[in-house]
Amino acid sequence: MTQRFLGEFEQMVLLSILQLREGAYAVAILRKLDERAGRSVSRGALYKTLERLEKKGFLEWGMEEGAPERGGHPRRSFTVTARGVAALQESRLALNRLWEGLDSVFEGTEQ
Amino acid sequence: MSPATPNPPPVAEWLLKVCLPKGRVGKSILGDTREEFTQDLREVGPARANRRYWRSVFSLVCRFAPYAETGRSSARSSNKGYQDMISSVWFDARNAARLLLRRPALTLIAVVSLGLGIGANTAIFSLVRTILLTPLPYPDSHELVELFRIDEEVTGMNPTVSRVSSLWAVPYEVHRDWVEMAPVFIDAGGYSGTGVTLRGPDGPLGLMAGVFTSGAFGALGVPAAMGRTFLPEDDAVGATPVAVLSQGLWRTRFGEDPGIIGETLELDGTAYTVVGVMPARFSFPDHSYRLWISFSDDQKTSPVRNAGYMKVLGRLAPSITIEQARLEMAQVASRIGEAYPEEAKHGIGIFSQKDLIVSDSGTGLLISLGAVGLVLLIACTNIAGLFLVRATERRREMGVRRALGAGRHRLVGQQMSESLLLSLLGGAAGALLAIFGMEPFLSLMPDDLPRLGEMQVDWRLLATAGGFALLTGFLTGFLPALRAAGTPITAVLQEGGRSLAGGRSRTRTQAALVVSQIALAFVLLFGAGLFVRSMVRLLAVEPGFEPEGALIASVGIPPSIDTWEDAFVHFREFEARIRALAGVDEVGAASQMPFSGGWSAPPATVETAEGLWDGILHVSSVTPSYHAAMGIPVVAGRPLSPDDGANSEPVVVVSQALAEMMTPGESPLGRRIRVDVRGDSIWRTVVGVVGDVRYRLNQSPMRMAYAPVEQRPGVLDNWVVRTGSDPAGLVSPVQGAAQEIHPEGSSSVQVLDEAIRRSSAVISARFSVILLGSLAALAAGLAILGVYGVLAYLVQLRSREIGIQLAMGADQSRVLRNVLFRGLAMAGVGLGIGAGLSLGLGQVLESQLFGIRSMDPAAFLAAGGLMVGATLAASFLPARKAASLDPVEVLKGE
Repeated sequence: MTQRFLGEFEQMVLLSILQLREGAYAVAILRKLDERAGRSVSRGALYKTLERLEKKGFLEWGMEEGAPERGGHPRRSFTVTARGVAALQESRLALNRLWEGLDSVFEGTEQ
Repeated sequence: MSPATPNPPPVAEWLLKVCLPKGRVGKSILGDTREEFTQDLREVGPARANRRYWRSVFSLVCRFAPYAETGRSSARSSNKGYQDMISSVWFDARNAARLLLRRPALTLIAVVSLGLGIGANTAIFSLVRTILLTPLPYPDSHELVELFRIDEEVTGMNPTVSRVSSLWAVPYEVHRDWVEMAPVFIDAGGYSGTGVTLRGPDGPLGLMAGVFTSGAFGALGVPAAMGRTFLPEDDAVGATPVAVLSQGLWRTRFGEDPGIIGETLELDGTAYTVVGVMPARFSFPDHSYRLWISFSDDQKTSPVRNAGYMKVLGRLAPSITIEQARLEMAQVASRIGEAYPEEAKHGIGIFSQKDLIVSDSGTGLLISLGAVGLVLLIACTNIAGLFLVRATERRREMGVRRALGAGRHRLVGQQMSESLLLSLLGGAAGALLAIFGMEPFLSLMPDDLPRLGEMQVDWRLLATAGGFALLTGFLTGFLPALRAAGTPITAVLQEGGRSLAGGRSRTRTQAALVVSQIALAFVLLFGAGLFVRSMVRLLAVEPGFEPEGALIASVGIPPSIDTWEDAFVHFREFEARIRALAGVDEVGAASQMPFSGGWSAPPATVETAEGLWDGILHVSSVTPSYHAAMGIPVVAGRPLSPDDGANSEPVVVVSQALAEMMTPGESPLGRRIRVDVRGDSIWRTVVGVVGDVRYRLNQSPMRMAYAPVEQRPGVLDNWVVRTGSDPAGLVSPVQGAAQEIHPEGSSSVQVLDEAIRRSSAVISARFSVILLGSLAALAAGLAILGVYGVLAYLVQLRSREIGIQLAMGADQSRVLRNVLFRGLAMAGVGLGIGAGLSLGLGQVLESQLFGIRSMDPAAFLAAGGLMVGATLAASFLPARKAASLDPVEVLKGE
């Protein structure tokens, strides 16, 4: 299904949320992306992507009470839906199929 | 929240709150941003945390501002309309920025041309504001007037400064009568200026000093910063001489000594008591005056009533207008005339201080402002043309958007935002240009432009640039915006991809814009041509003497000399020293000399063919060799000779202009002139006639009389040295001689040719030529760009038609001619309109021109020829492209 296809950045965001399990909120997602993928992302781009993923039904969120270091503002914590996990799985399989049989091409180029 | 946590930058936080969606989502994003900031504070310190916060806010605002209203707000937000507006403005701005960035070269050209236009307008407007619009730096400066003696014949009911050619200074005695008899002033008093030498432990220092009465200080109305200004007691005969220092002199020479009040200064051998220090912003008559001293007893008690050296300042009582004051002073003049019949022919002229200071500069400045305004207008027209092209390209897009329900005002807003953004960029470039270009620009200005010292770069300059930018934005965007938004939906959609009809009507509009550019550019070229011709005429003027191979030197007299006999000895010694220098052919001196300092003109009586003539005459006391040294030819009779001494018959040599007035067509030799100097009136016999001399290049020769200095004592501080070799080589020997004879005096020596080139008439003319010339070149360049743009677009639009013509066997040269003809047609219409405008312009320029009529055919033809040639050149490229179209390719492309 075409709308199930995930962009590279969308995959990264969903995977970061899964990695974080509990406490996947925007600031933590940004950090995870930076640590694991070496991607420094602008906050605006992240929120837009989260909004899009939510519309597609790949993730959902709940509100937590605000802490003092947040100026008392509430915190949105994200979880990946079953549909999101399925989409990730589909993207991975598609990529794997494309990678198949190409090992000889990349021999010696991997470190 | 812990009270110890510092807050993020409040402005950034406010911006974020405005732009984020309302409700809990927005709050959570706010919380994320705050949390990140708190972490950054701990990890990287406040400075970088603040920077990162701003970066975050910027990225969020970019993402959210256009969609702020889409937040999941449970309640309808009360400021929804406001948010709608912000988001649509934001959306338009981003869209506009994207469109501009897509064509960087075009955007750069537009920003640079707008920047030039706005920068030039900002600079000239700031100058006009400083010189013409800002009040003088004295309290209630509109009440300040200055009084002069004027010739009765030129006194009208309402004389203006420019109509009265001669304003005479008055002596102390007359000034006292005016001040005592005039009931219209709160305070009034006389002043003059003089060079003085201040002696002290740091060595002698030459300074300009204002010589003031207490009334002059009272009229100006600026109190001293420390101590006091002059009191009426200081004007009394026998009072202690007093001085008031400028803030600058007090600071540099006296190290801001707070105990300076009551100290004594020695100026030219006289002791003055310091009574006050003026505030830093005070200057009068101008910035070169470093201190103010009281008049000497000799001046206060002199009975002389005709040789003037003082100007009189007055402050009008609040209820009195300048016209009322003129009437009152006319009565004062007639009462003085009854008491002193020989003064009955003089009136009293009253002029506002500001008119006097800015007199001639006003017209020149307004012309400059008009010229830069025209250039900005041309730049605007050009950019409006660019937007028109784009509007046509986007007609279909606009039509579709309207069909989908976009409001007309939204489309106009979007179009306008592009031009506003462009002009704001241009405004920023213009402001930078004005700020950094001001210094070099001012150095080009003529030195005698008043009030330049008050000019400064401040918020008003930036506000001016901003104002011009907004104006430009509206001018360039409005027409294309209306056009784009007014497009009928069905028409566009039916047209399909190709639109000949819309293109043609747009081409007509664009052609009209180009025609107006050509017209305006022609006006500027014509104006520049007039100034070039005027300057050529000015430089070709025969001054009446030989400037080549001569030096002029201005040399002071030692203050120890106080009798005329001593002065003559001093003059002779200096002359002998100069004569002894190698290479000197002749040397002479005069009390007044062309291109060097001012002159005075006492009243005189002259025997003419029609009887006695009374009036004002320019009289110079000269050494016998003066005319030979200057290269002024003797036309009739004999030159002055060393035998015309103090004890021989008083003689005088007259200029041709004076001779012509005395005895038209006949020889004036033997007739007499009575020059009223220092109270003694003696008849002098005319023994020779010499050639006319211009004191300023742009003035006609004055009626001059030259008297031998030993018969008519005068201060010879202007010397002329003639040599057969290069005069520049004599500058330092002459300076050395001046130094030997008066070690503490200051002298200035310059090559005469150079002095003429640096004279104010030439510098003003050159400034006008440079300014108008460069503006006209810019305008012509922009207009040519416009012509090129229209024709190139036309060729592109009609390439199918031209291709078919060519395929049917049309001649290439005919296609070429057709396009060239279109260019010429635009030039023709533009020149016709421009010629009409120039008729009006000539009248305005008349007063600034020299030696040519304002309807100068040469300037007219040159400007027209230049414009036609330039249009042809601009048309040639598109024409060649049209002629070389390959019909097969064109039709394939369709």
